[in-house]
Amino acid sequence: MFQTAEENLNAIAAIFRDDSDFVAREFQLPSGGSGAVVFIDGLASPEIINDFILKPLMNDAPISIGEAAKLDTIEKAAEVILDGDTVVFLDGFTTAAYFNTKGFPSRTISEPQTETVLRGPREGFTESMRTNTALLRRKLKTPDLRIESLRMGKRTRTTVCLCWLDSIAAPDLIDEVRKRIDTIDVDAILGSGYVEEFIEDDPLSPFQTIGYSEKPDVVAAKLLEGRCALIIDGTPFALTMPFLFIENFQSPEDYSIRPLSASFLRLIRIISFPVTLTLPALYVALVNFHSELIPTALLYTIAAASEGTPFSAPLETAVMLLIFEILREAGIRLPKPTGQAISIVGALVMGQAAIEAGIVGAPVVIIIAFCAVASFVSPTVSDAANLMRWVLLLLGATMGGFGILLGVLSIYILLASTQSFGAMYLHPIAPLSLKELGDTVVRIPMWMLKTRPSALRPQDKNRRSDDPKPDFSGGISPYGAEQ
Amino acid sequence: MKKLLKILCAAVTLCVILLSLGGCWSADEISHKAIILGISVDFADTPEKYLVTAQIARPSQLKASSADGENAYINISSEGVGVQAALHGFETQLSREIYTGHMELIIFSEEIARSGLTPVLDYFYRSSEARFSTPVIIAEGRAADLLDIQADLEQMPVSSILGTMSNQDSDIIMSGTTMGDLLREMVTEHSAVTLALFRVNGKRAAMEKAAVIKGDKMIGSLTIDQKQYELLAGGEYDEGVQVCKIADGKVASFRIMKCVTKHNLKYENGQFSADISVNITGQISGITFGGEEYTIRAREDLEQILRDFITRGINDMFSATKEINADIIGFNEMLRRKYPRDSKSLLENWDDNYRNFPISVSVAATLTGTGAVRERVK
Repeated sequence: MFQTAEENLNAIAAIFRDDSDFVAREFQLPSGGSGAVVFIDGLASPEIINDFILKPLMNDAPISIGEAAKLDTIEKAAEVILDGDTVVFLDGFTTAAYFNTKGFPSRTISEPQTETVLRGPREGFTESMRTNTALLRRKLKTPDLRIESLRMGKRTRTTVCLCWLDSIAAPDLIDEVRKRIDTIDVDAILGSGYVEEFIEDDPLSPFQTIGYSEKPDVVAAKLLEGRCALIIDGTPFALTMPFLFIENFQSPEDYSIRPLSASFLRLIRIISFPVTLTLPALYVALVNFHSELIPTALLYTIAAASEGTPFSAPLETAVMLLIFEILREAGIRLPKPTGQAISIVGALVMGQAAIEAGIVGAPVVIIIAFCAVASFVSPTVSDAANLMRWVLLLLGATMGGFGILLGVLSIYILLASTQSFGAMYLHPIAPLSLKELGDTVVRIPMWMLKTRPSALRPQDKNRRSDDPKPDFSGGISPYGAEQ
Repeated sequence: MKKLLKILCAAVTLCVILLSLGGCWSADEISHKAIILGISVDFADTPEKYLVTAQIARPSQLKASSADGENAYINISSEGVGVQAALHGFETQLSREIYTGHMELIIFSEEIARSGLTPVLDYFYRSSEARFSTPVIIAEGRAADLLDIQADLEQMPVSSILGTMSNQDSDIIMSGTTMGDLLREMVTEHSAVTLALFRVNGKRAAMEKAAVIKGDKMIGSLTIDQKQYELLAGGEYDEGVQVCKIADGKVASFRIMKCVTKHNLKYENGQFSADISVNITGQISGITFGGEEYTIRAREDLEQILRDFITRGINDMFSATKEINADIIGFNEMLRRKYPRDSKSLLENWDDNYRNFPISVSVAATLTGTGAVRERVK
């Protein structure tokens, strides 16, 4: 750094050259000499700069801003102003000072679009990393919560926060995540997917091995089980790891509603997965290879519907499935009002018209429609299911039931051999851990949920003490005190 | 990468192995099949030939049949030296491949049943499509006529006949004997099995008797009542109605709610015998006599009436079966299992010995509740 503010200003201006949002304001100090403040217009708050930096400096008063520090180099000064801070150069100092004046626009906290709940908390993460860590901190008011900041991306210099609970998460898990993050060599981190692909165990597997959530309560619950989370600046999705297969079927709603209803809904979600995966393939295999397995009355219905249709069952199913995939993609990509129009055109007009025109049979449309609805039940696993469905359809159409069996077994082997940050993906089903099935296929009452998942190797294994739930049956009576 | 290659190799190998079991070349579209619902077999007019008639579904007409007056089925016939040859004849008349995987009924004419079922059943036992659970019935007169009856409530004659049988089943008159039952009985020496015997009455099918098949031949028939007592004595009766005729045209009817039958075979002093105990629980469902007479009759009397009625019925049924020498309960098999050595000489000549085989029947009846009462018990 240089002795005069002007020289320092020239040096930093040389870095930003003619950038229109780079602002440098020179001023004279009442005590003599000159100074300069530099910041990025839009990232820094002009009110804070005017009222709490410029005004005191010009009136020889102390600057009252909480976060401030000294800087030694021009490069560092350039880095901090890109974060929205303001740097002050003064004549006669070979160091500069920076003040936290971050004031960039960000979205307000709103209900997440991807994880809606009926009874749970409704706030969701935003694109601002600091807001997100604050939301998480609000859920976990304990000094145990560690939030470690890292910078990633050579050009984007994105801040990524690694969060975990010190007394619960396994230390080797944190070390492993840190190690994997250190290996990331990329010029830009523009979303959570960029990080995910670099650190996950098997990037080519159709099944995700890192979880994501937009909800601070979900992330807090995962941290409490012994996982760690990555909050990435610029995206409302926090990554959680390790990720188990069963998490695809767990919804935050499960913990807000009664255990029996939650268990029933979870069963529905679990059953929907094999249904959406295999239904088109099973239909084709039954119709083409094993028609003796179809109940006679149903056989007549299917035969009546497919009579006169020009395509064979596999082709009919494949075409309808392709149309569904196109419609789904169009529905997601288009703006909301247009997206709805597409669904109506797709579902009503095309489906109905295709049946009436005798191009496809009604059973195929029903199968594909049901399969689509079932795939929406567990959104996190639907991407994998959408892909595997095609493979199974191909196997079912070429080899019938044997083919489907082969496909399903392969998927099972793939799932059973997958690992996520040292945890077996199918835990606690394979390897089987009977004790931990309470929060998998069913959801047992909270007071029975005593331990954390052992696959995550938590330091503190117990969620609560072993004491039984107090019995309230002898308490206040509607019939008054006993005689 | 190595792992991926390994998985890929394993998958390809498995696919190749599986393709030897079946592939897309063995695929068959349902809409390209002629789905046979039922088959009837008669002797053809040409000597040594069979006339096979098949009822084939027309799925496209299933929903619309009543509206446009067209049937939801077609019946086609073909002659051949065997069932296989006759079925082969269908292929020259039909645009689609015949498919017997969903065949729901097989009908043989009485004439064929009396001459022996083996030559006609053989095809069905060996067919990879036909199922052992398909019911078999016998037709008085031409079997093909049964496929041409007026179906009334159903859309197809076969469904109508099946419905009649299963409907009767719940009221315990006839349980459908399947192809598998028939085969089992045919390989068991000396025992007999009963099949529903249908007759075309006007344009409707009526089940009035049960054909008794021994070996592979029909040797006689039982009335529907006798068939009912066969089920009672055989332990296959579950619930139903018993109408007991008392003297002077008086009738008491009972609804049987539960029936437990036990067979006890005995070997005493070199003499074999069977005790059949039937334990019935039921309710009074109707009495045609009332007033004075009803009030003095205690429940015990009604129980006695029911007991006597069923005992008489079962004994009559055994007399009838002994007359035609048909062990329809299967005592020979029970004896063989219980006394494998001692029963040898008896069973060797079972056909003659069954006539003199002592069977004693004891019935216990319990009436719970009063059922439908017209007058109060004073």
